[in-house]
Amino acid sequence: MSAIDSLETFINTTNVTFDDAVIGVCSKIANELLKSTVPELVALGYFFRYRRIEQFKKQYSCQSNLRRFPVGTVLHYAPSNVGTMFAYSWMLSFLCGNANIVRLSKNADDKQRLTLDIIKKHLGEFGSNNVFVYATHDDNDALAKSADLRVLWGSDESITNIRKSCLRPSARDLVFSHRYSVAVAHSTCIDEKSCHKLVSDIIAFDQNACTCPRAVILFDSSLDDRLKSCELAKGELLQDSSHLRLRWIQCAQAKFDVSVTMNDLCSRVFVVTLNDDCEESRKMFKYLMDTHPTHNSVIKFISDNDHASVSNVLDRHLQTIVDCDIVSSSATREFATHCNPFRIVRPGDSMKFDIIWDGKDLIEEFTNRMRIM
Amino acid sequence: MFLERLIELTKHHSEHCASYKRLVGSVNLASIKSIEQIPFVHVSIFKETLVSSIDDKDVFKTLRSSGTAGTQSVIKIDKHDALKQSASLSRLYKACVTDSKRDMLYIDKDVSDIVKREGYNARVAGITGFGVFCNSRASVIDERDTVKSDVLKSEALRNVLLFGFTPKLWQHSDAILECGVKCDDLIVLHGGGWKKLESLRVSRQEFDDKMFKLGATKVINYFGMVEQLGSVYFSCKNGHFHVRGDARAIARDITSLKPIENQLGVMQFLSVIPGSYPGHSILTDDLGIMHTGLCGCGDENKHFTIIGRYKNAIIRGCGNT
Repeated sequence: MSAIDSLETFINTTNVTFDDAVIGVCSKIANELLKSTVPELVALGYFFRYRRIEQFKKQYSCQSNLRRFPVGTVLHYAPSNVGTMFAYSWMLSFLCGNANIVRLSKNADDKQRLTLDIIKKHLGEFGSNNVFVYATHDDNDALAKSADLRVLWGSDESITNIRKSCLRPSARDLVFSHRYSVAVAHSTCIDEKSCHKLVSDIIAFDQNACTCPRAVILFDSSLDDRLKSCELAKGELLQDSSHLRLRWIQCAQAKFDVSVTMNDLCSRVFVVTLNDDCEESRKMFKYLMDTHPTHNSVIKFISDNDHASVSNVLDRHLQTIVDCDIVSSSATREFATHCNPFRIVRPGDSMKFDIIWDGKDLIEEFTNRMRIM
Repeated sequence: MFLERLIELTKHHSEHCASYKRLVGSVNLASIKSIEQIPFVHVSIFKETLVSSIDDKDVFKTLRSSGTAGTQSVIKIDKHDALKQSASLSRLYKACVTDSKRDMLYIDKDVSDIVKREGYNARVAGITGFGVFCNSRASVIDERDTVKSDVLKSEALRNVLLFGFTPKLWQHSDAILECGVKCDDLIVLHGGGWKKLESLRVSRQEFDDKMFKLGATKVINYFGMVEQLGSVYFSCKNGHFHVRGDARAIARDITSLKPIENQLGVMQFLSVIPGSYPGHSILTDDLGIMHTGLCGCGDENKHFTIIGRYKNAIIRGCGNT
C-alpha cells in the first residue's frame, strides 16, 4: 500500500488535550515498552510512564485563564538515525490531542519496527486519526497538504528537500535539523565512573545521534592523561572501521594546518591542539563535525586558551554539552554563555529525551492556547 | 630497490608537500624494512585539497578523476612524471594487451567533445593514454549517443582494439553486434563501471561472452585510478589482476589495517612513478583479495581480485556512465 493509499483511511479529527482515553492508551504502550529487553524501548516507556504523563498534564493545565487545544493534524518526518525517536514526537503530539501522520524512515533500525508494533497493538479506535506511513519524497506534496504542523527531524539536506513542498498558509514547520554535541572538561576531578558514562554517551547509537559527543574539549592539557581510561579501544563495539576513521582524519590533516596525534593507525581517539588561528580552527572543527564517520571516534581538542576563544570554533549547530566536571559546573556554565548550547547534561545523560528539545517546548508547540479574558 | 625508491619518495614528498608532512611527520624512515611499512594516504585526500610536491611553474598537466560522487580528485604532474607514466603504460600494454599497433575504436563520444564539456578526466586519460599505442583512433558514438555504423564497417580497419568503459560497452554491444565490426582480429579492452553493471545484473562472464560474440579474440579488463596513472593492472583469462612493473598491491584488514592475504580487505596500491604528488602509497576504498600461490593462467606475478567498494565509502566511479 502506498503512503497516499494509507491516508485514505485517515480521519483528521482531534481529541481533547490530555484526554483520559488517550492517556490510557499511552500508559498501555509505555507499560509494554518497559517489559522490553531493548534499552531504547525501555527508555521510551519510562519517559511516558503514567506518573510522568500526569505531571505533564498538571504542569501544562494549571492556569485558569488559559486552555490548551490541539493544533490539528501534525505531520511528523521521523529521523533514521534513532529508531525510537518518531515515538517521542508522535506520543507527545497524540497526548496533546492532535491527529497524526507519521512518515517513517525506511532506513531506520529494528527498534523503529518493534516500537511501531507495540504502538499499533494498543491504538484501537485512535488508529483512524494516527497513521504511520513509509513514503518516498515523491509523496511530500500530498502529505504537506494535510498538515497544520509539520515536524521535521533530519539532516539539513533532507529538511531542505522536504520544505520544497509548501504547507497551507495557516500551517507551520517545527524543525530539528543537523546538530552535534561535545563534552567539556576543565578540572582533573573526573572520576572513572564519569569517564565510563562519557564513553557510553559517545558510542550510543553508533554515534549517529546528534546528542552523542563527537569531541571532548579539554581546557587543561594535563587532563589528557586523566582521560586515558576513557580510550574507546575496548573491543565492545559492534561496527568498526579503522579505514573510515583514517580517511576522515587524514582528509582533515591534509586540508588544514593542524597537528593531530594518534596512538596508531587504528586509533579511535585523535588529539587535536587548537591553534591560535581561530578562523582555521573554526573551519577545521566544522569540517571534522560535518564529516564525522560515526564509527566510534572522538576528537580530543586540547586548548589552554580562554573560553571565548574556544567557543568561537563552535557554531550554531551545537546541541548538547556533556559537562564532565563532577565537583563544580560553574566553569562549564560560564563556557556555555559563550556558545549557547541547547542543553548541558551530566555524563551518561546525553541520550535522555526531554520535552524541551533544541530549545523548543514540544507541548507548547503541539498545542494552541485559548486565552480566557 | 623498489623499497628504497618508495622510502626516497616518502622523504621527497615530506620535504616538498606540507600536507603530506602533516600526515606522515612522525614516521621514522630508517625503521622501514618492508613495503608494508611504507606510510599510506587515503585516496580521498586528493578530493579534499590540492596535494602537490611541485611548483606551479612546473605543472605540465592537471588530471581529474571522473568525480561520480560529486567531488573530483585533482592531480598536478610535471613533465617528468608524465613521461614516466607513458613509459610504464607502454611497457604494461605491450606485455599484457598486445605488442602490435592496432586501430582503436573507442565507445564514447569524440574525445575533444568530452574534454570541452568535462575537462581532462579519467575517460579521456584512458582513450588518449591507450590511444598512443595505436595506429589510429576513432570515436564510435555520435552526438545522439548512437553507434556510428560507418566507422565500424570501415574497409580500412585491420586489427582493432575496441576500447571503452565497461557499462558503455555493454550498453552499445547489441548495436555493435548488429553492425558487425569489420576486422581480422579484435581485442576488447575495458575498465571501470562494474557497480553500474552489477545494478543491471550483468555478470563478468555474461559480459565477456557478449564481447566474444562481437568477434573478440581477447577480452581484457583493466583497473587503475587517476591518482596513480601509469600503474595499470590488466586482467588475465581468469579475471585476476596481475601486479607488474613499477607497482605493488596490498590488501589490508578493514579493522586492524594489517596486511592480509586470501581474505577480503581494503586495497592499498604502491607505485614508484608519482614524484609530483604524494601518490606513491595510496589506501583506497576498493575491496579486494590478494591471492597467494600461482594463478592458473601461468603468470607468476602476484595477483588480486577486486570485489567492490567499501559499503560506507563514497561511491567513486571512473566511467561517468
